[in-house]
Parts: sequence; C-alpha cells; structure tokens
Amino acid sequence: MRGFEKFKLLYSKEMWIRISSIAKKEIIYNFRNRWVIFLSLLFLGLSILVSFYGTSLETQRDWMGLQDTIVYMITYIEYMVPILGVILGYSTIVRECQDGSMELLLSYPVDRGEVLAGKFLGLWTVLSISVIVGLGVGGVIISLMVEEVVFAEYYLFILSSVILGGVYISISMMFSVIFVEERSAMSASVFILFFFTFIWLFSMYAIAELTFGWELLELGQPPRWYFMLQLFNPVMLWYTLLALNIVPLRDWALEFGGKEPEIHPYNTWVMIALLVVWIAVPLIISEVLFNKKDID
Amino acid sequence: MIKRFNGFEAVSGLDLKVERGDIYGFLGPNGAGKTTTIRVMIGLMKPDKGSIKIGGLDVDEERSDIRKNIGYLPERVSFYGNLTVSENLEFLCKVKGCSLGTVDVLLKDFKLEDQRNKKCRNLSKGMTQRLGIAQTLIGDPDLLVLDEPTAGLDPNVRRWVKKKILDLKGSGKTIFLSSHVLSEVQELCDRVGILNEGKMLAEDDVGTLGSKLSLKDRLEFNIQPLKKSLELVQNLEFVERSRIEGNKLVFYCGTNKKMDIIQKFLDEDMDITDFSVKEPDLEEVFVRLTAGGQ
Repeated sequence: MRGFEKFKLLYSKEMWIRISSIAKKEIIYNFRNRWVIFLSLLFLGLSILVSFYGTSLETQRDWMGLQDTIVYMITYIEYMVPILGVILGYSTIVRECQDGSMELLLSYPVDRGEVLAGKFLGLWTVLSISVIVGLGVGGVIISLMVEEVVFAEYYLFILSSVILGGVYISISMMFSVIFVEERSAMSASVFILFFFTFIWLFSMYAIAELTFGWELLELGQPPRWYFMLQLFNPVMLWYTLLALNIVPLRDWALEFGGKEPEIHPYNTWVMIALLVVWIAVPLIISEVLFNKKDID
Repeated sequence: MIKRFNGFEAVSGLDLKVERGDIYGFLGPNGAGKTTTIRVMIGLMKPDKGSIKIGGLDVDEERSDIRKNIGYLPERVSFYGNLTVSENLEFLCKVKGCSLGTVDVLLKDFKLEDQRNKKCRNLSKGMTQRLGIAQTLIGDPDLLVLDEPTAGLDPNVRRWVKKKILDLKGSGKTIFLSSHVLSEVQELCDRVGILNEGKMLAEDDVGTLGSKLSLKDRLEFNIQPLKKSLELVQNLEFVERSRIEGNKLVFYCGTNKKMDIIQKFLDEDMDITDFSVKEPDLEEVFVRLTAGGQ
C-alpha cells in the first residue's frame, strides 16, 4: 500500500512545485557563483580560439569548420565539463548540512528525494545553460566564418557534453551525501575526475600489455571484452558516442586504430542510454544514503 | 525515546508530553540532548527506540503532514547566503505550499522590510534570528519549536525575541522552547522539563518546580575580614556551599534570608565594600535535583 501511495505521489502537483522551487533556487544561487560564469565564458572563448588557432598545428591560420573544431575541442571539453560538474555538485549537500541550511529546509514538508531531484535538475540546468551558451555562441560565430556548416554534429557534441556534465554532477552529489566534510567530498570528486581521465587510460594500457599484448592494441584489434570494459568509464562512453557520429573524429579513429568505430558492440542510442545509467545510479545511491543520514 | 550515536546514548528513555497552547521549556546545559531530541521530533534524525507523536500523528510515518504544521527555528539558523531575505522567504513559502503574499506580511511583522533585498550572508546575527523566527510562521503552524532562540543575541534583540514569543503564545500557538538559561524559561514557560546527560531530571509547572526545589540565590561579598566572615556564615544553618573565591566571600541562601545575613555582618562590624545577588541558575537547579534525590 505504501509503495502504491509513493507511486501516486509522482502525480502530486505539490511535489513538482517543491522540486521546481529547489531547482530554481539552485539556478539563481549558482549563477551568482563567479566560477560558473567564468567557465561559461571559457567555453565560449575556447570554441572560438580553437576554431581559429587550432589549425596553427597545420601551419595555417584560418577558421576551421565546426566538425574540425569539435575534434580539437574534445581534449578541452573532456576536462572542463567534468570540472564544472564537480564544482556544482560536490558541495551541494555537504555544505548545506554543515552550515545548517539543510536542517532548516528538511524541517519543511519536503522529502529528501525531492531535495536531491530538485538540486540535480537545478545544477544540471546551470551546467546546460553554461555549455549551450558557451559552445553554442561559439558555434554560431564559427558558422558565420566558414562556408561548409554541418550543424547536426555540433548539436550532438553540445548535447553529449551536457549529458557528460550530468554524470559528473550526479557522481559528485553522491560524494556530497556520503561525506560529512566539504573537503572530503571535493577530494573524492576530484579523484574520480582524474581517475576517469588519466588513471583509467594508463590502467587500460597496462591491462592490454599484461593480457593480450600491445601489438593487438596498436592494430586496433583488442578482444571484445576490452571494449566492454571501456564502457565502465563515462568519458570513454562520451568519446565513443562522438566517434560513432562525427566524421573527422571517425576518420581520425580509423587512421589511428585501423578499424571502424562499429567494432564497439553498441550504437549511438546505447551509448546515450549508458550515460543516462551513469547519471541515474549515483542519484539512486544518493537517495538511499541521504534517507538514512542523520542531519546534525 | 532513545537516541544513540556510536554506542553513546545521547537521549535515554525520554518521555514527555506538551499540552496544546502551552510554552514548554526544555531546559538543560549544552550537550544535555536537547537539540538531539528536537531533531528527532522534527524527523531530521531517527530514534533508536520509541516514537514521537505530534497532534496524534507519528513523526516517522506522517513526517510530511506533521511538518506542514510545525515552525522550526534551529539553534544555528542558516539561510542561503547568496539569496536575498525575500528570496529566502519566497523559496520557503513555495516549499511549504503557501502564498507568496505571506512574505510581505512577515517582512512587515518582523520589521525586516528594509532588509528585503539584502543578501542573507550580510545580515547581522540579530537580523538573522529575526528572519529565523519569521520563517517559523510560514503556513501559520500550530506548533513552534524554537531551539535556543536567544542564544548569542545582544540584550535588546533578546528582549525583542522574548516579547515575540509571548505574543505568539497569545495568538494560540503551542511553543516548545529549548534553553540553557533558567531565568528565560521561568519568564516565558508554563511547564518545564529539565534534561541532563540525556535523561529527564524533572518535569513540572514552572512555579511548582521552583518552590519544590526551594532554589537559593548566590551571594557574593567584598568584605573584610574575609576569613572571619566565612567562619560566620559557615555557622549559619540556612547557608550552603560557602567558600572564598579570589577576594570574595561566596555562598548560597534562601531569598528571604539575605537581609538577616547582612545584618549579622554589620553587627560584627565587618566592612562590606560591595555585594551582589545572583538569581538561581542552572547549576543551582542541578545541585538541588541531584542532592535532593528528586
């Protein structure tokens, strides 16, 4: 009966008002945070700079198309979006528990799951606006400067970056629930960030060397399980999603690996679904732990 | 109700009842378990044993419904520093499902209109406390739970807060007030429960408890000769805990015996340069309760 009542609550207007109020509060609060503004401007500046100066590697200075801009920007976005996600997420629960505002909020008729949902939606909106405005305005400027414009791939690049940011917000929010000190939550979030970007890469090389050998990896013919293992890293999921869809990146992958990206056993939608799972699982863990947590 | 933290029993078998319309004083020193009890009442913590019912509803099962009818002022009230006073109140109104018109009413009632657009991180402690009490009235709840509402405030704000609490009682609210200041509880409350080390030491009407405990005043004298004055009071049966602290004679006695003692000092030609009388404090209550075996 209680389960059924909980299900019925999904349709409760009051619940959605509470969630949207918390989300709105997070949006206002975080857009007054200078770090968020700084990173938004950085996204914008980077897309323009990379588009113009990125080709300097190829000894010419002129505007690149959107597709090539994506290829060059991947390296930056791979770090910047997760960093923004971590900045937004790591302190959202633990700081409010420490300063006492969570105690006040939870004395109101609001469920802890609603607090988490509202916070996540609010923070994700902040990240989305930041990425969409930053990369979007950059994209518009670039498209005015070049002749051949393929918007669909650039849209996918922006959308997938937003989803990747959601993953990092979700993970760092989970640490924000687990830890009782802001510093610990930040350390854990930053560790995960480095784990999935640096440590993972070297660990995968080590695994390759120790199991099937480096030659097969160089030939782009590692065993299937090796690709499957990569899917446990959201950054690799994001990269694979882009490699499956963005032509220059696909060409680059072919040149490097000598194989079609389709050797991955999944398609675009499966990649997106797995990224969504990466968002959902930490949120579910957060809800379970937050409900058990004493607020003191 | 029992609440433990890592094996330590912060609240041990607490059992209390608050009548509708009363101001209930929850008195105890810091670390007695008052805030923990309140947090369990509000549903911020789960008890290890026992349950709490508010208006007939179980806190654990009907948390959301109960919270609609409670206004809570935490001991360390904190708002979103990056939001303004009115943005904070608007947010809390929405969470409680109240009309945003409430914000203007509260800002006016609590004389916070001038602070409306000020960010909460820039508010003084007194203004934050005002805002804290104001937010307890969102949704016009029947029960107000105020945890140390006057702690750390300057005398003017403290007086204002006490008056507001009495006004709220006048408007029919039930108030659960935690404090470690005996005089404050005596001044404001109808009933009092005294908590120490997680256990309820005594619970009664404020007046009854005071007379039952026959609380004594603390007297301090700057007097010469000091040793002789000590010997004198030690021989008086209605004087307790007499000692010399620094260059002062300190002892406890009943309110109606103060003049007798002063007369005795004067009869002995002792030189009194100054003296002070302190009303019974929490320490005195605990001495009475533990010594009296009550």
